[in-house]
Amino acid sequence: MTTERPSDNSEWVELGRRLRETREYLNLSQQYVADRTGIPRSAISDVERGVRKVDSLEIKKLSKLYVFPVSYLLGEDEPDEGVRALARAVTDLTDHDRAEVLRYAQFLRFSAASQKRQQRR
Amino acid sequence: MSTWLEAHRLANLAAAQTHGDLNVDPAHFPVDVFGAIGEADVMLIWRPLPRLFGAYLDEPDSRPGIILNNGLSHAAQRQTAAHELGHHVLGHGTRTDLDLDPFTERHTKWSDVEKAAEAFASWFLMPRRAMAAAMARLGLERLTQPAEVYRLSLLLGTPYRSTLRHLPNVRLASQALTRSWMSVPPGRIKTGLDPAPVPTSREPDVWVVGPALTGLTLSVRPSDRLIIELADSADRVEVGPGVVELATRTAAAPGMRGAPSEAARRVPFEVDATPGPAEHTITVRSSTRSDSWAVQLKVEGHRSGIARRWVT
Repeated sequence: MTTERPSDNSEWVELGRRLRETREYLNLSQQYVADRTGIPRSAISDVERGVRKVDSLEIKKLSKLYVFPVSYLLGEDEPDEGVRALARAVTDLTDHDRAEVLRYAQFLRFSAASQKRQQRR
Repeated sequence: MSTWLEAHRLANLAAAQTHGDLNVDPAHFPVDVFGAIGEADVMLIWRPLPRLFGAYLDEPDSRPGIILNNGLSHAAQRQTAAHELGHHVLGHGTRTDLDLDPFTERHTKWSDVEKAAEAFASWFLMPRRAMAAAMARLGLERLTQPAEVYRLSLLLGTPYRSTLRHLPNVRLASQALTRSWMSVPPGRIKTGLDPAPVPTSREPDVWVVGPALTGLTLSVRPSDRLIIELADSADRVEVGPGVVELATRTAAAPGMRGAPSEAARRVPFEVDATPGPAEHTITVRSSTRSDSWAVQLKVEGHRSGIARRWVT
C-alpha cells in the first residue's frame, strides 16, 4: 500500500527532503518520530533519503504528528490567502525573519484545521 | 500616549489575573512562562531569527502562536516569551518585536501596546511574592549593591537589566539608585563574584551557591560558573561528572585550598555537562560538624522547534 504519488525516484527524493525538513523544523529526532508513530527509525531515515517509498498509512501518521497536511508534505500546497495577507503586513522584517514568521503562521493555520477535524470526530 | 507608570499599574493587575487563570504560583520562582503559554492554549516555537526577538501571531482561522528567537540568552527568551504572552492576554493581535532591550534608544519610543506588553512581562515574571521568596533564599532583606540584583535575576530567570529596571516598581530600590546601578555592566559583576580566571566568553553566568540554596534546582547552562561558598575552608565539596573544579586567580591549582583565605572559602567550579533531563547534585560536607547541604543542577540546552506539548 504505497502512495500513488510521487511517481518517479526524484519525486521520492523530494518527498523525503520535505519530510526531513518538516521534522527538523519542529526539532523532532527520528527516534522521537519512530516512538510516536510506530514507524521504525531506520525506515524514517530511508524515507527521508528517498531510498524507501512511504505508504499512505505512514504518511498519514507523519502528517498527524507534524500537523502539516499530507498535501503539504507532498508539495501540493501553496500558502493560502490568510498567510499571503500577513506577508503583506509584515514588511519591516528581514527576509529570513519574515520567512520564519510566515512559515509559523502557516503551521498555526494547519494546526487550527487539524484541531477542527478532530473536534468533528 | 501612556506613561510607563500607567502601563505598570495596569500590567500589575493583568499579570496577577493571568497567574490565577493559568495556575501560576506567584510565590514560586522562577515563574514557568513556557508552561503558562501552553496553559493559555498558545502554541510556542523556538527558531533562529536574525533580528526579531519574537512575535505573537493571532490571525483569523488560525491558532494563536508565539515564535521566539532561540539565539537570545535564556533569560531574554523568557522575558520575550512573557512579553508575547502579554500581547495575547491583553488582546493586542499579531505583533512582531524587533527590539525589546529596554535600554536602547528605541525604548523611549515604544508604543502604548509595547509598553503594556513589556510591563506585563516584568510583573508576570517578577511578582512581588516571587521576588520576596528569592531574596529570602539569598538572605537579603534589601538590595544594597548590583551583585545582589544579579544573583536575584539568576534565581528569577530574568535578564539582569530587566530585573534592575523593575526594582522601583516593586519598591525594592529608588529610581535614583537603580539609575546609578545601571552604569555597572554585568561583566564586571561576574568578574567580582568569580575567583577563577575570566572566561573567554561573556555568556556564562556566575552562580554563588551557598547553604541557603539547599533543596533548590538551579537551571544552569554549560560553561556557567558555580562559586561554592564554604563555611570552613576544610569543608568537602562533592560533585559528580559534569561539574569540574577550576583554579582560582589566587591559588596555584585546583584542590589546593589549605590556607583559610577568602578565596579558599569560595571555590569555583564550571558546568561541563551535556544538557538533558538528568539532574546533577553538588553536596558540601562539613569537616567539623555532622551537617551537610546540597543543591541540584539541571543543565538547560539550546531550545529549538515546537514546544513538545504540541506534538504528541
